[in-house]
Amino acid sequence: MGDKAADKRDVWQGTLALMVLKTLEAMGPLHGYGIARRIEQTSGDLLAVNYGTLYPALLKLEQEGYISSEWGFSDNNRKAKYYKLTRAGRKQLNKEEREWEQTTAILARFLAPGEERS
Amino acid sequence: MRRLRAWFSRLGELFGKRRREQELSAEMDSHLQLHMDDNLRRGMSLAEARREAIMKLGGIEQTKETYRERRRLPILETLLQDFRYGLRMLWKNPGFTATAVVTLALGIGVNTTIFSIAEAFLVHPLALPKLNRLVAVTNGQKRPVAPADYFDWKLQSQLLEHLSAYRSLDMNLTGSGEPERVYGAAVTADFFQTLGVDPSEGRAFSSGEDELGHNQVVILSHGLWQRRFGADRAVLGKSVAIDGRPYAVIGVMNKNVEFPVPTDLWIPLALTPKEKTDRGAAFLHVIGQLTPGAGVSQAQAEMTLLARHLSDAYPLTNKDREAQVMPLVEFVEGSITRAYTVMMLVIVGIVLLVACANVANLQFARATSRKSEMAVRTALGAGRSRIIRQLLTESVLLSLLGGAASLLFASACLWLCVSRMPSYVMRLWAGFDKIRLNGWAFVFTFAAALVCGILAGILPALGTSKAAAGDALKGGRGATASRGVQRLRSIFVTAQVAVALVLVVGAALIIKGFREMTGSADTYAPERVLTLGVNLPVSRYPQSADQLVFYRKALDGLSSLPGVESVAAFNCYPLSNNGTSWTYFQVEGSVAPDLRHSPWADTQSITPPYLQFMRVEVQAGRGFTADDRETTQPVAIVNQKLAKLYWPKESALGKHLRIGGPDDSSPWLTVVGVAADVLYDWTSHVPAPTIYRPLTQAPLAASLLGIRTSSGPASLEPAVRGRIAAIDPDLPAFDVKPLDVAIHESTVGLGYMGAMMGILGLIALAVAVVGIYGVMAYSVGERRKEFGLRMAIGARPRDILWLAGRHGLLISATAFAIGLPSAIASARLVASLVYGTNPGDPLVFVGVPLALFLAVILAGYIPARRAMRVDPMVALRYE
Repeated sequence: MGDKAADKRDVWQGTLALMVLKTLEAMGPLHGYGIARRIEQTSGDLLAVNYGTLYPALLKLEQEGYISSEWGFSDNNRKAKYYKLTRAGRKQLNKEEREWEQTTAILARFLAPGEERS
Repeated sequence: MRRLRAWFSRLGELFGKRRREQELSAEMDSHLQLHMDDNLRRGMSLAEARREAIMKLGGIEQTKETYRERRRLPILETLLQDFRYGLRMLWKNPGFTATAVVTLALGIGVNTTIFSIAEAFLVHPLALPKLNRLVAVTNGQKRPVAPADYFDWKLQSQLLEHLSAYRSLDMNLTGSGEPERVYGAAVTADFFQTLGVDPSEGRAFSSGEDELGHNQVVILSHGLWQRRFGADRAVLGKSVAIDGRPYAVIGVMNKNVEFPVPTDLWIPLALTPKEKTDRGAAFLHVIGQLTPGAGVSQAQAEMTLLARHLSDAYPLTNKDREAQVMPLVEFVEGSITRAYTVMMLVIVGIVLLVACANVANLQFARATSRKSEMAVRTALGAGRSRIIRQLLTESVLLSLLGGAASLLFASACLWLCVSRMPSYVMRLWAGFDKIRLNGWAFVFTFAAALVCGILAGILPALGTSKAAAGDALKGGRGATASRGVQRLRSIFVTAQVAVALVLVVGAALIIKGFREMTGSADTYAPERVLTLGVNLPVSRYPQSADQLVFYRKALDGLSSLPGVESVAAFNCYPLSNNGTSWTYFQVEGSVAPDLRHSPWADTQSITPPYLQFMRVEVQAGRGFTADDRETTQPVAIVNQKLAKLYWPKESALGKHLRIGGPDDSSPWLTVVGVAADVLYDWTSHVPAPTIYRPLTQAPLAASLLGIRTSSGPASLEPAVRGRIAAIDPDLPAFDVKPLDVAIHESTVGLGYMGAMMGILGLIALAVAVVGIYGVMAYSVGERRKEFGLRMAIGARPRDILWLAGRHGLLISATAFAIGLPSAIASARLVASLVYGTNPGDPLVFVGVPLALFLAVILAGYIPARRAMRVDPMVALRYE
């Protein structure tokens, strides 16, 4: 409940949300475990996601109306909750992607000459 | 938008909790299953697969918990939880809860009461739609304005719309029933436009009706219409006689509008051409509406400029004459209302603080017994902030309960206030009929309760949570409250006792002053005197000779009534609050250079028996006799005060004085007697210099007549009216009432002050006594073991009593050391505000503190004695 921990999680959740949305766009409806695995794999296993943090992030996205969920069955016939992107989610994803690209572009410009000088 | 949506969704999650929980569990299970499937596929053993899956998830319960926090609104959730828990705790401690709630109910209740009264008096005393845009323009100090000045202002002011004028006049209303003296107002035609109100029946004045010859129209107040005309619409168009002249009724004013306060009827203000151009005689009150966008200060700037122009143009009359703009609300409020109301607000605020301190103390005390509960909560992982929040919630809950109860208390107080006030007095008091618990009072009460809850709860919560964090589960061992907390509680109690002392002394001063003042009325034996007022209209009594004829006939008629001992005419009875009339005068041999430096005195025109009638002693010289006639030497009787002021070294008898300013040429009056001082106007603290003149030499159109009877005079009222009607059937005798009733009505406001102060003082006293008892009882309870141990090793009971009582004594002594000087200082303040108060009353300053000290010592002694009776064995066994 400490403030600092909350800050960190919020930052993480910000990017995590983007990853979740992107994953759902690429893969279609997917359950929580699947999303977690996919993020892990895409990141080249660089990101060791604590799967537990994924669920509050999913809930937040659902509460905000960017994704929706329903119960279904997995390939090997396990009952699982499937998440899929809503229309609002798609829009939000586009927006966030653009913002992210801008941010990284700006940061890249900042970082590149700095490296040369040192 | 999205945030709001999420928030609502979370709010929704407060309900249907179980289903969501199940779903969460199912999702976690499914996640683990899927993960385990994967792990098994990779060749792990079942146990290994499961372990790895759980680890990767970061613990099932932790995940669920963070999930839950996101799902719902944790703050609201814990708040509800705290509320439920708090209610349960309060329910489990009925004694504590009841004490705290009652304390708060009283503390908040008196505040709500005074708030409601203050709101009615100072914020909207009048039910006018645009009240906050209405202003009055005066010559400063609420002084009236000369007609010519008014017309110039009306013409030139840009920032004030509908500048209208009025004057209040007492009028005799005759025709259809008994003659009646009524409150009248003569107003300009656009007066009701200024107020922004319309008659409920008929019409308002139209322009031109405030011109002579067109002005015989009248608008009735709703109250008069109901009282005298039975709310009959047929009265419209009919004619009534006012001061002997016929007026056609054209309208009935809307129910709530009575401005000026009080008014029974409005007639047009029709000034003669001479009056219209007069700048000397100022008798108009001027009101106006601020134009949209203009404020009082802008209007003031404009009026100051206009006043300066007039001052330049007419230096003879208008030199340095100012024009002051003030909100109408301020204009109508009584001269002492604001000071009294603010004083009461301050006092009840202090009472509330005392109540808060008491509740804080109760909570400190209870915290001691809840120590282990807090320790358990801390051990189970409750953070300090969580515990503080819990305790604060309980405190706020407590004060909200107190606030709810206070509304009952306040409405009872208000009912008492309004129902005990004579309706005749109530009408004179702008806003009195507007006193009630309204929406603002509810908001105020709620806010006060919240603030109280936080004020009373914050320190106990901080203290307790700190202790909880420190002590953890050590249990009862050495369980004395931390020194800091103990000191804080002692400070609270000390402050309580000190404040109680100040309040009780103040209350005693006011009550004693009031009692002495009204008690002094007994010397006049007012219960055997009946007074009545008459107001002879100039239209039918143009000459003073006519007036004297009336008075002679009336007094003869009254003296022949059965049981009447004596009769007299005078202008003002003792201990009235508005009846005196005063004048400048000049002393022969030392005439003042100008009006401003002239001495002044109250004047009374009396018939010869008056001084004896009112039991006023003639200390030197003689009283008036029937031989002091219009034509004989002009004479005067002065009171002792005036005699001492102006002839300090010699006898006043035979000296000369003259009524009026230095340039007036009224005849010299010869002083023939010196009378004892009488306090005619109680609002002036002390008897004013007074000049009595024979009615024959100084007749007045308005006068009081009095009859002294051998028994209760109230039954004579019809006969008295009959005698007056026999002389002049169109002349109402008004305010026909026994003198003791009249005196009561004139001083009732002060009586209210006294009663309220008494109640507040008692509340403060009770709270302080309970407070000191509580602190002592708890400190004794906490130190049982110590006392037991001391007794086991040989301490005598007396030592223990001293040990236990020392603290209480210290508190009392400190409280008195602070309280007494404050009481003396505030007594001066009270005396400057409340008439009749003697700030140096020795009885009050010795008696009240002594009584209070005894009460406080007793409250502390009872628990201390308990300490003395501690059985060492029992006490030590607790260890």
